[in-house]
Amino acid sequence: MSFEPKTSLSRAAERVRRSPLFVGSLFDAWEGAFGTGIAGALEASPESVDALALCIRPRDDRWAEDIAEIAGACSLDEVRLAAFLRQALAVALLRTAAPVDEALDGRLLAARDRDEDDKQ
Amino acid sequence: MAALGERLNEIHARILAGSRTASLDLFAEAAAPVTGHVMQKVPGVTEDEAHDCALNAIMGHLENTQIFDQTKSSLWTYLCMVAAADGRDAVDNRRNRDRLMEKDGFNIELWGSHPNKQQEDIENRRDAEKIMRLHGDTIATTDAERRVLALMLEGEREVAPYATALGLEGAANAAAEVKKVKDRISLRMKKVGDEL
Repeated sequence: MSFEPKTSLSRAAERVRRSPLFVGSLFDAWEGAFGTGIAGALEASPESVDALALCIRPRDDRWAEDIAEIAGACSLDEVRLAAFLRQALAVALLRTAAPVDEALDGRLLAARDRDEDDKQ
Repeated sequence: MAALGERLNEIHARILAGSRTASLDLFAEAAAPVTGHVMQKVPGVTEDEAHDCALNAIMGHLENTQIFDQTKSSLWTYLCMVAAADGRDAVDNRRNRDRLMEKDGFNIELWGSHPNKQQEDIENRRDAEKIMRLHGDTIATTDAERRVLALMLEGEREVAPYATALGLEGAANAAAEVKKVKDRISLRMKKVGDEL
């Protein structure tokens, strides 16, 4: 078997970027927003970043507990990891939010509806 | 050290308990052995295909843990079963594609129409290599034409790479010359396809 665990995990880490279940699904949004590598931001090795990608996203109601578990398993600094994940989740949310133009259209439409109601 | 089956069942219990890192352990523990199982059980499967199937099986399990019923089998058996079935499909699909290519002819548009997705790119490249190997000399008779053919089969749509392949960078008539060469090659490809 020529697949070293490291290579295998690296391939798996690439693959899970498509699934919102995994932390790795936040990487593209973060890299796109900040334009820097994740290993640099976390001051971590590429192996640690691959391991992080394969973890399940932390839960809001158990944030500290989940961060501690992930940081321990991936040899990452807890504080840095928490900050990174907060930023990544915020960026991912912004990316999935409605574009500004559409949001504006919605507000104008709502305003126009109220005007018409007022006339009746 | 516990046997692999036991370790995977322990990991599964951690997944159900809400662990955020059991997924990492599952990939680390199961990817290589499941890949090995697929290679052993599925004749003709490549190492790459087997590994992809193993990763898909693990990922699929993590995304839908409720599908696996621990009372019916171990996680090891389940992952092997899913990955091997996937492997057989991969081999069948590849063989069907190869058979179509070699016996039933081909159509250039099949390889030029969807160049964006990564998996399609890989398949396009494999198909392109096969076409070049089998019929390249008939379809393209000069080195310049062979470069153009390679670009066509890779789904290239911009004029510039073709102009470069023909040594026409910056030439005023580059677009027209490129079209002429591409049309000539397409015609030969159709002829080859009709003859197959």
